[in-house]
Amino acid sequence: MNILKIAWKEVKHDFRDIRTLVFMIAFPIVLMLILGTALTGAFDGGDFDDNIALDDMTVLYENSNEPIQQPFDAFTKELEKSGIHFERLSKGTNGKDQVEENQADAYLSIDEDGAKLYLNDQNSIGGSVIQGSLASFVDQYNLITEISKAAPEKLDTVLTASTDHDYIKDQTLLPDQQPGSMDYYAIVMTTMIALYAAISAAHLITQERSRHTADRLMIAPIKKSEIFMGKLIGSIAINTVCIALVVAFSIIFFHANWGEHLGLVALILLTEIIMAISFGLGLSFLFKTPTAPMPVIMIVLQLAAFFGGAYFPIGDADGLLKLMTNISPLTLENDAMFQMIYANDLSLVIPAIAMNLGISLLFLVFSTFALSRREGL
Amino acid sequence: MNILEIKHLTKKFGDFIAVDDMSLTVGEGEIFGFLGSNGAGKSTTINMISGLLRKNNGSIKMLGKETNKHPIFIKKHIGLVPQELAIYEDLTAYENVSFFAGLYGLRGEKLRSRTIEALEFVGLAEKHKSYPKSFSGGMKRRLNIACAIAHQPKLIIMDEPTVGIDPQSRKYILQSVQKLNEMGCTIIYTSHYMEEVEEICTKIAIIDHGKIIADGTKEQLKSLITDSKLIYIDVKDTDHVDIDAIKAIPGVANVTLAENTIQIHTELGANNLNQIISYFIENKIEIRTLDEKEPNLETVFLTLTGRTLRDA
Amino acid sequence: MSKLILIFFIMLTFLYAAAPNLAWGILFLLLYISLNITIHLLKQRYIVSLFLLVSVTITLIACVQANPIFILLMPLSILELCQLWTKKTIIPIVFAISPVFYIQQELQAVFLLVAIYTITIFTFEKYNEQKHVKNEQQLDWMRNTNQKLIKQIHENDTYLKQSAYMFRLEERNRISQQIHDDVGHAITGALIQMEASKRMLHVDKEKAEELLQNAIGITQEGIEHIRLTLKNMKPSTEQVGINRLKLIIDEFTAKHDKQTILTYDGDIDQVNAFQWEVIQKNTTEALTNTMKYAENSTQIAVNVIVLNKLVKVEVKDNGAGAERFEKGLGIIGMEERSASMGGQVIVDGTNGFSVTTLLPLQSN
Repeated sequence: MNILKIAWKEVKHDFRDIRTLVFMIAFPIVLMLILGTALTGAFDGGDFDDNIALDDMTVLYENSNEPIQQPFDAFTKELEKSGIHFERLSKGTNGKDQVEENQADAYLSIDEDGAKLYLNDQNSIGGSVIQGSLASFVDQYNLITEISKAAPEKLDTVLTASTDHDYIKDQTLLPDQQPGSMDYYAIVMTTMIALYAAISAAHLITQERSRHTADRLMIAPIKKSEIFMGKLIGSIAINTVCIALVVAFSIIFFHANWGEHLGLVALILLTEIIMAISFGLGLSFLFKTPTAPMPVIMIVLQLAAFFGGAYFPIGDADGLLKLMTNISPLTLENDAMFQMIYANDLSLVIPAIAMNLGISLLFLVFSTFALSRREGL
Repeated sequence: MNILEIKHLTKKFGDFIAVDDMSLTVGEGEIFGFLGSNGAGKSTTINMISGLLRKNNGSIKMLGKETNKHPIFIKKHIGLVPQELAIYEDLTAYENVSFFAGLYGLRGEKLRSRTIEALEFVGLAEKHKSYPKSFSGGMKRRLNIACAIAHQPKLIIMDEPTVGIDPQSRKYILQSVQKLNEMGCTIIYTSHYMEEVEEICTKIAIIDHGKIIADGTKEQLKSLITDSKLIYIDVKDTDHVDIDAIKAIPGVANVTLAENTIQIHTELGANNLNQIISYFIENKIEIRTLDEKEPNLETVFLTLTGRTLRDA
Repeated sequence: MSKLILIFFIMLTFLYAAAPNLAWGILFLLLYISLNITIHLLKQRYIVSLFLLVSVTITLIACVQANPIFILLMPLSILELCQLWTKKTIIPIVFAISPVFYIQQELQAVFLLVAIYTITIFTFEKYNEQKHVKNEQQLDWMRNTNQKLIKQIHENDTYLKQSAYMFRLEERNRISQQIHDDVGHAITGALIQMEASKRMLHVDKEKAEELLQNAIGITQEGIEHIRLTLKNMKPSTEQVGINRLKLIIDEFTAKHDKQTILTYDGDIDQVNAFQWEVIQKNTTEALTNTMKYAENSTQIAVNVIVLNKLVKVEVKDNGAGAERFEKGLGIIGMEERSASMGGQVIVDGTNGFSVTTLLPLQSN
């Protein structure tokens, strides 16, 4: 009960703080609009012109896994129709080099352990197509092997059935399903602004202290944990509403594509908000002065946003840049989102959620510990 | 009955001893004044009583129970008016009071009526929908008080509730303190304004450097330093003044003459000013000016600590 | 600490290897970190063991699921777990090294290295911890002894004070006894002689004269006795009350280059001997303090005021003072002395350094 009262009070605070509200809602929308329209050209699928036909593409491949050869051939034949040509890698040439030199669009290496795909980034749509098709193929093949283990007699039917499969359609790889610049920025801005919840979270406790209301809360017959939980829940609620508004706005006015798994999108965003809030809270306990966490949070947020591709997509990277990109939590969030929305690939959803909750747990444990040690709030 | 018993209370901040082996008892129904300069340890003591600070040593018993063993019970019966304004600027007056009262387990109709009562008590009922942003300093102070009384605590602790406000609001607040007391609340009132404490407090503790230097009623405190007051009477001429006759008036301890001024030492509380004046009237001695020098708490504090309340 | 280093190592290996299960790896690392932080917050042995077991399980799952390199975290957890249940060192070491047979060839070397390093650090840590605990105990014991000794000193102090007073009482008794014995007898003798001479005056003039002469002699002797007794026994006026205080201050001024002034006001006679004792001791202590902490002061004022119901003694210098000061044994001693008389000590450093002693006067 007390938790809810405190949560409700937090929500009131935030709704009356017009500046923050505008920042949390208008800022990402305006950025989406600016970046989304200004950088249209930079995205291949930016204009929804149907004329973009896929150029013929060449995929070099190498296969040391014999049993897969037959279904693979069937697969390549199917793709041949869509203008994707598979060529066996000639001896003595390095597939990766070929791709790098733009001699081929992709290089596929299949062995006992699985398949590895090297893509040429200069043709990102093509890359997506190949990747998507291949993913679908691998799924199918795994299915086949499973069946062959369980019921070998049905294998034939599956195999024959599968040859009719249109791999590309199966992946819903329609041209207008590519992320346009507006789609791209709708997603990255939303994930970025979700991280900004850390700023308001850093104020949750310090503000009570600077307003001296912390004393009032502390002398009331309620537990510290209730105050803590109430504030946490209130903050999560208000930020969730903000993000939901941003998402709704981007859908209604920018027609941004959020894919079909809206529930999972919401789940990722929610856990990201929790992570951001925990991070902000944790930092506010780490520093003695109320102002000290802000620069740290801002730097971390900006770096995470930058390397996570919030301002422009960071495609190919290596060395330090790659390291930084990998460290940014936004990279994983955004990858998970794009994979889910455009490739129907849910494999990154759980890692993203797990990372969010893991980091949250870390900071929350720390905050609770710090709070219990402290006199007052 | 004692509502509060403090024994050997000590609080250290590093090397600095803010409260030093303090012992005191507050009886039910008192307005107990903590008088001391800034940094004397008043707020620290209060914060330990209300549970905001942990004590290093000693014991605090409220309503017969150790505060740190029954924190929730104790907290329910305490209302704190903090020194600094502790209100939310972005909540209305009503929301402020209602939020804090709600934390004390009040809900529904009871919460609403208590909130209104508290706001009425501080004279802000009409402004209950306004935001504190639009309030004057005095109104904010009053709201600060309302937030502490809506749950009807037995003990109200007021930490310098009149700092930096206009005389009218101050008067209002002092009156409300007395009204609360009449309604049955025990009040601990801290201030470094001697006049306020002298005016409303039934018992006073003088605190300096974390210790209670002296405590008791204001009469007891004054009698620590002297039992007499001085009356200076300026007359036209002293030729007809009979010193022995004045000395015969009950309560008069000593009379001295200096030029046209008669200095009369008289016992505190002898109430003999009328008799003294009527002596002069009866003997047709014209009084030019009359001045009374009575020790006040400021003098007591100054004499005991060597410093005034405002410096240091 | 070593855990952190290990985690850092694993993270780096991970990132450089750009392992496929990066996300899982990070999840496991985070889980592992939060678990191990939580362990430090716990106290019961069973719960700690439970957490450690969970942490071992996580490590195992991580090995299988994400990357075999996680096995490097194993030895430490095993060591911690074993340490909870056994005092022997060899068993945990065997346990910690044992996974080496189950892991991939290329990791074995690293694993061994890490395991040995972990064991070494762990053993050292344990050793140091034991030493630390021992030192702490010793320190505690020493603190206790110290406290006892200080208490003893205080008790001795009081005892001294008490015995000095007893001594004085005895002295007083002795004086009255002596006056009674010597002078009383002499005067009684002289009185008898004079009475006799009065009767003999008209009967036998010569005899009367002789008796009178005798009485004169005895009286003279008596006076001489009184003189002698007083000379020997009378305490000099310097040794009581305000004069004693004056003496102390004069001595202080003679020794140190500070102008020290004593002023007093009110009815000094109301202060009794015990209170003077406290006042004198506190003043000496305060002066010593001033010497220690207010070196740049030039003047010290000692002010004794007898108020209606209490006596106030203030020792104040004109130095820089100190906003904050540590309450030393000296101040505590003053406080205890004053408290024994129901009084208070105020030490203030805001405007020069001042020590004020307030003692209630015995109501008469």
